[in-house]
Formats: sequence, C-alpha cells, structure tokens
Amino acid sequence: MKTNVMLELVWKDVQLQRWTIILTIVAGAAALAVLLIGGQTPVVIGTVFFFVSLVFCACLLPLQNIVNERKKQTLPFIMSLPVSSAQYGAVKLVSSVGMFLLLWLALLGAALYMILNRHVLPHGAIPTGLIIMNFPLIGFCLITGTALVAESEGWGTAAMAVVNSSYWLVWYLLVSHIPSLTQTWASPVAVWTPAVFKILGVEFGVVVLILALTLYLQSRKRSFI
Amino acid sequence: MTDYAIELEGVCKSYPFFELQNIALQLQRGTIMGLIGPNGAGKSTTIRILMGLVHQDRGEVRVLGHRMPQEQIAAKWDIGFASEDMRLYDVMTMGWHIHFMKSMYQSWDDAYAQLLLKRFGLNAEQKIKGLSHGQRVKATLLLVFARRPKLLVLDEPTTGLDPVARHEILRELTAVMVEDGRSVLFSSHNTQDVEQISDQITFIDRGRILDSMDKEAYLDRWRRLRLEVPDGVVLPPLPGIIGVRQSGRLAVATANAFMPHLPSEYENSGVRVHAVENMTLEEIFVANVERSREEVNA
Amino acid sequence: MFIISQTDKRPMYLQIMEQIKQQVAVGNWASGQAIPSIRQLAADIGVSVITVKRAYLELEREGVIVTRQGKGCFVASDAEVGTRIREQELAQHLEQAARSAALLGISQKNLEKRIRAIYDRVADAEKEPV
Repeated sequence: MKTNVMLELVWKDVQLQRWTIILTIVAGAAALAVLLIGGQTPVVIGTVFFFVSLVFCACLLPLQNIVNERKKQTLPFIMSLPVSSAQYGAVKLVSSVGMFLLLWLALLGAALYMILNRHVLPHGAIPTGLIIMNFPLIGFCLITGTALVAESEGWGTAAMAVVNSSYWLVWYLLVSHIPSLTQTWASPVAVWTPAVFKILGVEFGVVVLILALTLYLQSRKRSFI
Repeated sequence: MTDYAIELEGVCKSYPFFELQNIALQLQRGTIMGLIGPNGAGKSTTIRILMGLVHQDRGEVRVLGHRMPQEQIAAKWDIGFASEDMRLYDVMTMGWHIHFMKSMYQSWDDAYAQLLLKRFGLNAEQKIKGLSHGQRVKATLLLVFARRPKLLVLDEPTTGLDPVARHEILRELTAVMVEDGRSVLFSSHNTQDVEQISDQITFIDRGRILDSMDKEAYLDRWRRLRLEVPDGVVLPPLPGIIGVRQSGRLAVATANAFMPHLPSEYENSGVRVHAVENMTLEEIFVANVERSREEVNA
Repeated sequence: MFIISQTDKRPMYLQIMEQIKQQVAVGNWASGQAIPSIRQLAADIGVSVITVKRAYLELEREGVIVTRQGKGCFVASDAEVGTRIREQELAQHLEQAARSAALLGISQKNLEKRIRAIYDRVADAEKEPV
C-alpha cells in the first residue's frame, strides 16, 4: 500500500514536469546539432548552449517540482494523502533526481554520439567533457537539496545564485591545479589519467553526499506546514 | 474499536506569538462536530495537529484509534482532509485529479463522483486554473466526498462560498451522516452552518477550549431575558446569568445556565420579565468570547 | 417538504416537531405509517442528527409517534392523533390570547365577546363560494 502511494506521487511529478524535461532535451540536442556546422564559432556556441541547457534545467526543475508545491499551496493536498514527511522528501528526491538523470543521460548519450559517430569534436574532449557535464548535476543536487530542506523560495534562489556563479570558479581552480585537463582535450584519443578518475570519483561522492544529507535532514523535520 | 473518532488530551503547542494550551476534545463516532472560534483562535493549528501535519509539544492525540503523528499514514487512509489554504494543480484538469484519487484509494466511488460533478456544476475537462474560487473549493471537496472516508476533517469548508454553493456543501455533509459510523469535524466562522448541522459544538478562543458539548443541550443553556426594572427595585444577581445590560428601566440579561425557574425568581424580586428569548449561536459566540476575555483580563 | 426557517426564533427541533405534526394533522402521514429514520430525515432536511433525535423524542413523549425496537419509527396508530394535535394547537393559541388579554387588562366578558365576533367572521368567510 505504502509503495503504491509513493510511486503514484513520483509519476504525478513526472506528468507535471514532462514538458520541462522534453524541452531541455530538445534544446540540448539542438545545441549539439549546431556543432555539425563545423568551425570554431559554432563549436563554442554549441558547447556553451549545451552546457547552459543543463544549467537552466538544474535551476528550473527544483523550482517547479519542489518550491512550487509550497508556493502554489498544493502541499496540504499531498500531505492529506497517506504519506509522511520523510516519504514525501524521498518521493521528491527520487522524482527530481530521476528526471534530471534521465535527461542528463540522454544528453550525455547524444553528446557521445556526436563525438564518436559524427566527429564534431576530438575524442580527447570526452574525459574533460564528462567532468564538466557533472557540474550541473552536482549543482542540481545542491539546489534540489536546499529547496527541499529549507522549504523556502528564498533559500532555493540563493542556492541557484551560488551554484551558478560557482561553475566557472570551480573549473578555474581545477584547471590551475590539473593543467593536463586542458592539454589533452584536443587530442584525437581520449586520455584517461588517474587525475581524471579521481575527479570523477570526487564528483560522484559529492552527489551521493548531498543526496544523503538531504534525506537525513528531511526525516528530522517535525512539521510539514 | 474505540467510541471516538478523534481524541485530544492535554495537547499543547507553542509558537512565538501564540500558544495552544491544554486542548481536550472528543469526537464521537457517527457525529458531526463544529469547531468555532474567532480568527487566530487556534482552529487550524488544532486541526493540523490532529492530522499529524504538525507535532504537538505535549499531549495525546488519537484519530480513528491511531496515535498521531506517529501513525499518521495508517490514519490518513481513512481521513478526508481539506483546508482553506489547500490548492489543486492548476495546469491539470478536474478529470486528472479524479483519476489520481481513484488510482490511490480503493474506497473511491466513481458513480458518486460523477453525480457530484453534475450537482456542483463542474466539468471534468476543465483545468483547475479556469475555475472560480467557489468552483475550486467544491472541486477540492468533491475529491474528499467521493472517497467516502470514515472521517472528514474540513478546515473552513464553506468560507468564501456563495449561498447556493454553501447549501450544496452542507447538503453533502449531512448526507454523510446517513451511514452510521462516519464522522465529521469541521471548523467555520459561519455560526449558522455550525448551528444547523453540528451534533456537537466546540468553542475555541486564544488557544483555549471554552466549551465543548452537545449542540442542543448547549443552545438550551443560553437565553436572553428582557426585563423591566421598576423604580426602587434592584436587579438581583442570579446564578446562571453572566451579563446584564441596563438602560434606565429596561434591562437585558444573558443567561448561560438557564433554569426554568429563573424568570419567576426575577418576578419574585419585583422585576418584570417581558420575554425569554432563545439565542442564535452567533449571539452566544460573541457573548461567550467577550466573557472569557474579560475573565482572563480580570 | 421540511424547511427550517432562519427568521423563526424558535429552536430547530421545535420547528421540525411542528412540521411533523402538521403532516400528521392533514393526513399526509397516516396513522400507523412508517416515517423516515432519524438519520434519513436529518439528511433530507439538512440538519444535525441530534436535532431530529430530540424532535422525535419529544414527539414520542407527546404520543404523536412511536419507535418500535428494530423496526423503526411510525406515526402513532391512534386514529385521534391528528385531531389531538389540532386540539393542542388550539389550546396553545387560547392560552396566549388569555394571557395577552390579562396583560392588557381586558375583562373575561370582553374577551368572550371579541372571540365570538371573530369566530362569526371566520365562519362566514368559510361559507363563501370560492
């Protein structure tokens, strides 16, 4: 009985957010398509807008899926259903992360297809590209976790502002400490150094940490409303 | 199986500027309780506590035999809840919401839902954002009614509704009572609604329960006596009278513990009783709140 | 058929009792006939169960209705019920008239004269072709 309710709620979120997901995938794919034109400017425009679609969705999805439940006052309706606060938090995490991961994987697949089959970029771009693609994923988890735990639009927006301004800073710090990242991205062969694996490992760990912390903090709450 | 659908005992909750103190409340199965009180009295907080949405600082809460908030999931299967601040999903249709509830609750009565759609003048294909305030409230209540839950907990179900819509909702609420064993708790400002359909009335003001009892017995305790006080006669203070207003030779006494011999006691002391009138719940409400606030301030 | 009036100053249960008595007095509810259960009537009128319960209790005390355990509620099978109700009503009106007269200081003879005049007027009106 319990799992049924939670699944219904996850499905409800998917139904409500489906257009956001679809449009993000379409925008990302369109950005990738620009790369087909070839030449430096299209490559820059395409990769930048590809990244921007992910960043945009990383902000929009938590806003629509989590903040709006409180803002649009649909939360009492959900809370009248047979769910607890902890279950609600789990449902939101599952639906939010699930949907974002879905589009992230779809876009990753599209990007890999473009690089491997359509040769829009050298293979050397793959490791670094993967590292950079994880940024919006981490950012998304941070914004989602904050929005869910802090229960306010203000904090959610603050998280968005902090996250969005941090992307370049983090990239800059990474590159200054590990120059090999930018040195190999023009190579025709993907270069998987230990440094790359370490960074990917840390990124994965950060995602898990943020999600676990969110679940924990959510379960400690005493009131929903 | 307990006799009570809702039991609150010694429930306390503190907020920075408001405190719910020692709330004790019992709703008998198969009855309707009307919870009335001024704005900010604590009606919504009490309701949220019994729904398990807010954890009480102290005190026992049992709803349909389940301890709240610990067993709220089990309890909520049989509770239909609607509050004034609750909204549905604007971008979705009425039909979507019906389907959503149907897939979640086995007790969903689709035939009744369709009947209510017609009765309330709602359209399944219409998006929620296109509904007027009254239609939206009715839509929310439809989703509660069609589940046929054992207990309905409604926070201000008729507030802001036009007379026709109010009448429709009251009709459905009294219809719930035909089935023995189903209970309703609703809060309202509208003393007329509460007076008409409640079996029990609970008065709350400034975080405290003033009265909680059987409606008929309660209404029977209150009277307004119109008196004429001739010159040289002094109005005697009688037990059961909580307030007297005098202007020259005319006086109005309010009784909150009326006894049939009260008028004759006045007559015996030389006061003439012109009329003994029943009071409406609204008049009782105001008199009660004023009196309790005086007592607290004294 | 039952309507609770908000402008009527009497408590709801009394209004219900009066309307039930009217149903019996005019013969809509025949003596011995089954009447709606308390819960059903409450839902039909749109009032609380406790109010109808009280009305039924008082009506049973007055001998207008009877409750048979397990079978439900019925109009008293006593054929005189309708007449008795009307008699009760008349008694109430007469008492009120007498009280008002006393308060106004009208003598018994004067009151009798006035009642006679009114009765004649009403009787004539009844005889008139509709």
